[in-house]
Amino acid sequence: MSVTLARLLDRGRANALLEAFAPLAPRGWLALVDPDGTPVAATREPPAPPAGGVDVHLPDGVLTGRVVGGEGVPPAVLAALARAVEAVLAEIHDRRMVSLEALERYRELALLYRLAGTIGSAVDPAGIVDELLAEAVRALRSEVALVVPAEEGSVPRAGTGPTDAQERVRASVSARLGAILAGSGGTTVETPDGWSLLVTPISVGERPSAALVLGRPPGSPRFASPDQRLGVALAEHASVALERSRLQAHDAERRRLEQEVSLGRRIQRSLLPQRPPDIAGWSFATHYEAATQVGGDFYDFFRLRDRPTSFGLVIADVTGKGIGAALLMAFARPLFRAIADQYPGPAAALTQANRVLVLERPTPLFITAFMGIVDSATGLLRYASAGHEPPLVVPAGRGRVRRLPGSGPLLGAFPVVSLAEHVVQLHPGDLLLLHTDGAIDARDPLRRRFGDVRLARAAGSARGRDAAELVASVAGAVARFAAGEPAADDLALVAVRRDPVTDDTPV
Amino acid sequence: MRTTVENVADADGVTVLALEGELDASNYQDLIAQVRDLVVRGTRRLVLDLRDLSYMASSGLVALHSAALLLRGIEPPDPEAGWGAFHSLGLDVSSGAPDPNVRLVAPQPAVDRVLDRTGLKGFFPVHPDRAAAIASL
Repeated sequence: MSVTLARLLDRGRANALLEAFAPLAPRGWLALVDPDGTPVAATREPPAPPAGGVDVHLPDGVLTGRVVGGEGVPPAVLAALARAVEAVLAEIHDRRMVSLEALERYRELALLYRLAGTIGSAVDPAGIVDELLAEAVRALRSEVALVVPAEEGSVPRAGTGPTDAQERVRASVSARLGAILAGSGGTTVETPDGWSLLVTPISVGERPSAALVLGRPPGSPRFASPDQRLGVALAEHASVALERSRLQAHDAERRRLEQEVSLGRRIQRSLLPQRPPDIAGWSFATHYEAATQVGGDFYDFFRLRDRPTSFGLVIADVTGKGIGAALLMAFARPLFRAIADQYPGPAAALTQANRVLVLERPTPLFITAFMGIVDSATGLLRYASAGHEPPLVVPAGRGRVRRLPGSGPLLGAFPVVSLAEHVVQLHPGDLLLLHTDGAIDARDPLRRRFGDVRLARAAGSARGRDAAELVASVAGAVARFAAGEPAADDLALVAVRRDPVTDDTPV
Repeated sequence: MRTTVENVADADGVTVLALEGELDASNYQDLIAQVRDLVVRGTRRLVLDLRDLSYMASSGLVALHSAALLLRGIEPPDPEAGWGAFHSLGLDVSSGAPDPNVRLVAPQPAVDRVLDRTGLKGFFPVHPDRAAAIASL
């Protein structure tokens, strides 16, 4: 189909041009004709079908007509008129192109604006996908619209249009989905049965997660590049909305976890004894520092039922972090107390605690625990350790700082454990330090570990002092060593002193 | 911590996973995820080569235990998850006998001490080298 002058140039413009040139050809006529000679406009009726003349081309070089003139019209006048017509056509062409483009831009903007309202207002992925399909069908005049996830669950699967048509389109796309998603931008596909498809990737978080597939049935206009552009715009909008929805869900999950963490921390703090027990001849001090994550360190002191001169000591560490650790600790602490009351010694008590933890253990976490029963009158400490860091004894006299030997399996891993009971004599003035691995695992800025040796040295420097000084010495040494490095683990310290005998000590 | 995976050619479903660096609270979940991935790809028995592991925190014990559960086809609850995990009871099937699917190779003294102190050496048999560990499976 040729683009003729008659269609491009309205009669008024054509006559105005001819009139402008007529004075240059006073003795002849001038006419504008289509390529086949049909007159478009003339100063007067040409006497015969005009021949010759000067061709008029569109800006893209296509012949659109001729300028012809009667006898005596100088060729230069015809040429000038032809150039003038071409200039006018170029101007019309430009203006039309500009306005078409502007109109398209406007339509696109209006569509995107509407999309921002509709797709953007949907917060859940299913709603976003539904809005996307509705808009795509409307904007791209499709009979079928599908969202086909790259992998199940990444983006909701959805579709609109007649069911059998949906199935047909889905079947013809699914085989080449991978290749389409690997490319960039949209692809048009002509299926063997005559459907025109427009397939556009939808990316969520950097990678293509699904395809927007639009289908027009046989006999309807094929998808072309402007449709492709619009498809990409639609898909991009949906991508942004889906990504935002994902982040919001993630954010909500994070806030929920934060709340749980703060709850866990409150549980944990509320379970630690607020005040050491008041037992004649003994003094206590504690130190507790929580790491950034909730851990499961805890300690406890308690009097024993039916054994008025004895008291119980527990320090324990739930392996792992987070709310699960705090909850397991909340479960374990009263368990240890109750069992210590009922069983004759710490080994039997921890063995029983293990049985309960294995049978009723709520998480895959374990507990390392040290339990001691102290006869406050004699200073005899009976203890058992289930995989816990060995406590230290700092003797009042000249002896070395020593680690309490003996350790058995941690609690909660094996249905049957065998734990040995050990006995150590605490003399007046002796200090006992119970600790969790937050001390020896503390790191300095060079990532070195505090370790056993520094711990023993820090404890030893409190020799002959009281329980509070022992705790302060160790906590201070750990803090100086870490030099501001964030703690990876909770740090719990418990110091127990058998007070030195003084003149006013009751006998 | 870095890990290296090696499948044992003449032993079906046996994978050697070498751990290098430190296994602690910052990465034990990564190890659990990696074992889960290996199980999906067909690993049924696992040799953990600990020669280049310089340190293992108590969190590492959770990772070892979770690995044993995964190899038995049991999905352990997320140790850091919230109330949901607290309510998922009774998932452990440890019998007290050595685990049939996991072997440890040549732990360094620091790691050996932790395994020893916590009794896990009885649960995860330790071998001096890979060949002995593979042969025992």
